[in-house]
Amino acid sequence: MPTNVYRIQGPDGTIPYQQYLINKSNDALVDIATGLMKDVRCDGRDISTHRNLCIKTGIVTQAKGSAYLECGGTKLICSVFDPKEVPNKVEYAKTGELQCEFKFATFSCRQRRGYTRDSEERQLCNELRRALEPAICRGEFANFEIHINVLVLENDGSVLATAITAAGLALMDGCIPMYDVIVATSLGIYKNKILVDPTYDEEILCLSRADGEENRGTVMLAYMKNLQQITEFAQNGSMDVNMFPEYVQTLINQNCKLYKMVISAARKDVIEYFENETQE
Amino acid sequence: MNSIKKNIQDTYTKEYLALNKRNDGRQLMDFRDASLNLNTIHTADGSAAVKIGNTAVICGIKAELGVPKSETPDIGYLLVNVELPSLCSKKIRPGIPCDEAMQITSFLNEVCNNCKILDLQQLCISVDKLVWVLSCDIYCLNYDGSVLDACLIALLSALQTVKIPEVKYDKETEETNVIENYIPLKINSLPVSSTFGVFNEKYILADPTEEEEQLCVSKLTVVTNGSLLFSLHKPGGEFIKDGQIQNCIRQAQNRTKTIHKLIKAAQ
Repeated sequence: MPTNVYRIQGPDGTIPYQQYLINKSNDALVDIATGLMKDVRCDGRDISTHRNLCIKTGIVTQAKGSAYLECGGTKLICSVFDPKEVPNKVEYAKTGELQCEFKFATFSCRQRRGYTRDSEERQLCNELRRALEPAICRGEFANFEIHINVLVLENDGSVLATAITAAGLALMDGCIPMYDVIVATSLGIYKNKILVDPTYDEEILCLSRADGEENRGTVMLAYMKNLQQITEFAQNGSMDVNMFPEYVQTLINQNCKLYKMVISAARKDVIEYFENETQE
Repeated sequence: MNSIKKNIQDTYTKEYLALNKRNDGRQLMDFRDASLNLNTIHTADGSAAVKIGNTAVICGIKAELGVPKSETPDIGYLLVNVELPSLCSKKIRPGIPCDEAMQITSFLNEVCNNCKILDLQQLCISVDKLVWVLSCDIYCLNYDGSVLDACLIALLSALQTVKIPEVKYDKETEETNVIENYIPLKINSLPVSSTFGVFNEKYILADPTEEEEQLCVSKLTVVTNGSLLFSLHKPGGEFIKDGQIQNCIRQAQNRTKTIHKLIKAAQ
């Protein structure tokens, strides 16, 4: 065990007490699976409805732009800072760089997470960066870099999709030039059922190993509506190739709905801004 | 106005401080309004979000089972860590925790030990074998001054929301059984910290914002629970007089009362 001199640390090999209640959580998963067969989801949603969103922008006053997004139980916060020069860089770059930081709070998941970045966080960070790169006018700030930070406060499924939507909102709030609004949704596939915006339990169920040739897995798609461009597509699990167009169509339809919500939130911000301006 | 402010920051500040006014309309000894939200994170065993003005912190507590230290076999662990992630301020770079985060962490741990916030013996399940490990992580979401005050409020209110299940441990078979009978923790005292910024020997500002912290030469932190004084810390900087410290303690006591009311109202 490497010792961490920067933080107060407890004993090695601590066990979460939920481990001893594992039978109960397994029962819960079985319940969800049987419910899904009857098109009933654990939170009472319809199979093709997105969870309710709560959008708030500009909550980190110290940052240039920020957004807080709550999607059902998933809560995360994203902040964006001004473009600044890349330190110790000699070569000239025509396009600006994106620096992403994706972090789970230690208490955000069922199992306590460590302080240092683990491989999952690194992977999500990379996917977030790649999803955002095509949406930002990077030619506008050549040789500079933008820092985008995401902190997940509570993880209840579809973290990456929520993070991409939040980052899009934060970039808008920070007045970073963009080609289009970027939104993302994820799907869970379980035995030919298409679950829009899966929760944490449903994700576990979808990613559990399939026996035989069942369709199981998750699909995530980031989309720019006006340009009709897909910036990021991520698929996990095993599924039938012929089903692919259907998944993409559902995701695009969902993203169009999400786009309307994001735009209405952005519109509200603009109106608020101008109202404050006239008061002063 | 903004350009004047930027160019002659110091003179500008002095001029309005002489009128007992501050940048945000407060008087010198006014604190910002605080708000508190309990049980915000459902994946944590206890959590609280605190906002003081624009400063926002969130504290989440995870309870786990672990082996106690051999020198203290009958007490559990209370581990407090403060994180200042790069998202909360442009000054903080990603990577290892900055000096300030470590400073706040050690200060909070000291306060926890001094005030005996929690009777650590109640975290013991079986002597020398199994105890509770409470990991309290405090994340700063918006760094706008007086983060330490917000952290302490968040920590205490989060501890009050923690419910740990009953655990049966068999010493011979080393078998652990968790019974879903959740018991809240007993909190002994509620210390509240108040930060003052010392601008110069004449002006002391209560609850400084980030901008004011930059201008102030030193800070004064008072931790009290209303009747007892737990910690008074003024690291170097400009000298101040005895009377001013007395005044600060009085103000801190008033502040403690309001915060206690706030914590009670939130439950």
